[in-house]
Amino acid sequence: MNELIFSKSDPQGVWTRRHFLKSLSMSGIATACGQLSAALHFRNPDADRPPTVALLATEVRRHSHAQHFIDRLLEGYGWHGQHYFPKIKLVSMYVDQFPEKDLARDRERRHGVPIYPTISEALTRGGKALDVDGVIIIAEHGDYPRNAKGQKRYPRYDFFKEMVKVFESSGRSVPVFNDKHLSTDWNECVEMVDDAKRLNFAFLAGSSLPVTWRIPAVDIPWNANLRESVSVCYGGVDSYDIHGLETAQCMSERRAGGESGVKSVHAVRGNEVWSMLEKRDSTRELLMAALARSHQCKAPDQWSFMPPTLDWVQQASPGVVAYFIEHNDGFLTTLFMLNGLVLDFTYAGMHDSGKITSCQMHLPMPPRQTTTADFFNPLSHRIEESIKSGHAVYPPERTLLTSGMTLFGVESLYRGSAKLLTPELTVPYQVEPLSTYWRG
Amino acid sequence: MKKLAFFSTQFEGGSPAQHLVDRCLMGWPSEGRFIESPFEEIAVYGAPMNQTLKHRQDHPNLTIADTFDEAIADADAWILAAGANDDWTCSSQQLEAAIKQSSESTRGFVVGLPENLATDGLEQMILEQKTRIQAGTPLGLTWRLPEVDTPSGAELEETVILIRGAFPSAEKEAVDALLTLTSHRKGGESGISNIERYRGNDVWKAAREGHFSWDLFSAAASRTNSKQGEATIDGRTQDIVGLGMVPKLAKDTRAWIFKHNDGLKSTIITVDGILNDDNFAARTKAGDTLSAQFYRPPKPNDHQFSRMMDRISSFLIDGENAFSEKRTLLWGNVIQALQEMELKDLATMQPAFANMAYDASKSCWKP
Repeated sequence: MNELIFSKSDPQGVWTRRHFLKSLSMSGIATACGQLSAALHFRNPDADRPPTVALLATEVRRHSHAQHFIDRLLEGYGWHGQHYFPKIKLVSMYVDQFPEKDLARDRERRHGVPIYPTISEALTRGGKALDVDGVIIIAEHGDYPRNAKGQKRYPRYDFFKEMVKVFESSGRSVPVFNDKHLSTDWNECVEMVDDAKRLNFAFLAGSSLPVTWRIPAVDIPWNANLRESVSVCYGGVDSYDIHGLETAQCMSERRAGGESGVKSVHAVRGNEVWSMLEKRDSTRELLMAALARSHQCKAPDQWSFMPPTLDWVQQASPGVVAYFIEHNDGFLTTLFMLNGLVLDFTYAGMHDSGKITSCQMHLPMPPRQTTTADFFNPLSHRIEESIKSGHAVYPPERTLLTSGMTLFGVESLYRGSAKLLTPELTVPYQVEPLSTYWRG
Repeated sequence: MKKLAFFSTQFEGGSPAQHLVDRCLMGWPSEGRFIESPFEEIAVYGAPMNQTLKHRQDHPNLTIADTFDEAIADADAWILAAGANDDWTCSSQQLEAAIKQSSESTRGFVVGLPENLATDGLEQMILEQKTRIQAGTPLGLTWRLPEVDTPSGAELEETVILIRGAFPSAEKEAVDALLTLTSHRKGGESGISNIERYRGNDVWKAAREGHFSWDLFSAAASRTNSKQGEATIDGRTQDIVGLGMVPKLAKDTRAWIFKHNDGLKSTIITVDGILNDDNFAARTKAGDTLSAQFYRPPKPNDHQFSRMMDRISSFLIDGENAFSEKRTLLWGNVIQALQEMELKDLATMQPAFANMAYDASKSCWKP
């Protein structure tokens, strides 16, 4: 749908100050994602038919990410007080693996959406050129190798590059969504965002956390004088840390001046977390404020709930991991993964005035709390909006940066909790004032 | 506040009594921070000793009273709570005793419903008593997804509440939530002039015949995140309403249609087998529809009881008057009427309490 406007690619594949200056010059402010350019070149030759999409998945089984997205495209979902049927049409799939309880074949049979043997064929629908209006990449879950750092090498980058080849050979690009972080390699992450700019397509990425329900329904006021963010979550390194970081970043990026990029990442485990916390009064205060928004905070034996003390937090989460992140403008982000203590995602941010804004990013997990994991509803809707408009609802720089925070967090742990200076993560951007979380 | 008397006949783990006593002892989260309990002493009476209670008995702020008189002596306020799981029944005897022994300055909160509110003189006692009493369950007060409420002073046309559970516990919560949603409409609660009762397939026949709004049922159901049926097998997000699957999934459905004196129609439908959460939709006479899920946070924290403690402490400590006594009486009378209809297999009833009306100028629900 977007006529391809080729620009000169950056052969370095590294996010540099030059990228930033280039993006500034494009939009006047650091919109930095090619959104404006994409919108200018957006053309829809056949406005009456719904845009078509191809979905590239690693595996489709009950409650895998791909199942959630595919079923929302095919069956609809609850949205704003009605069962909503998407105004985009899933017309082709590529599925990389077929586990024992595969559902991809069932969805293919019941809905008549063909699974093609290659990514290229899914995108061209068996023809010679790109033949869809949008691409959704869901490379989460499946049997893939782990590297020495423990990162699972999901083929998000590989899928993306296969897709880029089709865009290039077709002389045309279309909007793309990539689920969760971009890749497990920083240069690959940068290359993906660069490709989106070079080929001028809207690129939406990330997790459900920024767009799900918030309890209460609050956002950081746009351009607020925010000085520190804390996110508290559970789950594993290189899997749920990205969710926790996106929880924080979707709030932090709204601060005055916008996002400036990240100066350093320091990931620590166990008692070192609490030693570092002793020196940081505001971070301690924010940790407790975030916990006050938790609905799944473990209490001592025989109690169903008890307001946690810091001693209890330490006792209940012996495997604690924390990422201490310093941004270029002095802003602080801290991610606490408190396995054993909590089973939800909460946020607290401190304003210059000392006021705290806090909420839970509501992510009820199936099958215990939900059968359909409806936090995928708002993300599905944002994908549709981006594909229909040719404009990413929020910039890929957010996910580029959270991918970087995740990767350098993993790297920091791998290097024995070394504090890493991260000039690579100078990824400045600014979001639009409109809140994009689910509240209607 | 120095002393709180806490009455219950049981103290099961996970019951309303246990959740509330724990919060009275330890504090609870409120509006983004943990607050300390405002009660210096909590005197518990009425529940036989069990492991759950025993584990708390050494708390310095807890007293297990041997007699009712000992518990209520010098108490600044009292709470009477249901003590069993999945049952919102409180003791009429404890309520009667609490009313009799309260001073004019004492306030009381009832969590659940006394079993014989309308028949054993309690009604008259509540209306005549000098103690101020409020009552409710957490459902009407809990978070809603999204954060919507019926606008104060709005002219409401119809509401539908979808609830799960056994009779009459589910109905107790649903009627309480219904009153929370509708009492602050234009003119306040006008009273209920007619009740219709449906069972099983007759519920869906009533829907086809337009006895209640299928659009509102559909809007309420769209707020679920726990569809039953095939969604439980493979997570599919199918439109169970549009595909006509609701009657097939339904198990022992009950529906109650209430006609209020001002023309409002309210329907409560049990959705066991269809959904695994509780939802509502409402439409104003201007044609605006709103809908939401009554969000019940997961066990074991059950933080809807933290929201409830906010309401209870606002009343007991600050005197904030969210519920009128007449609301409590209407709630109790409606439940008693439903029990009578169930017992006698009545299809309709024009209740004797049809003129039980009250004004509520503002909503008692907070985002």
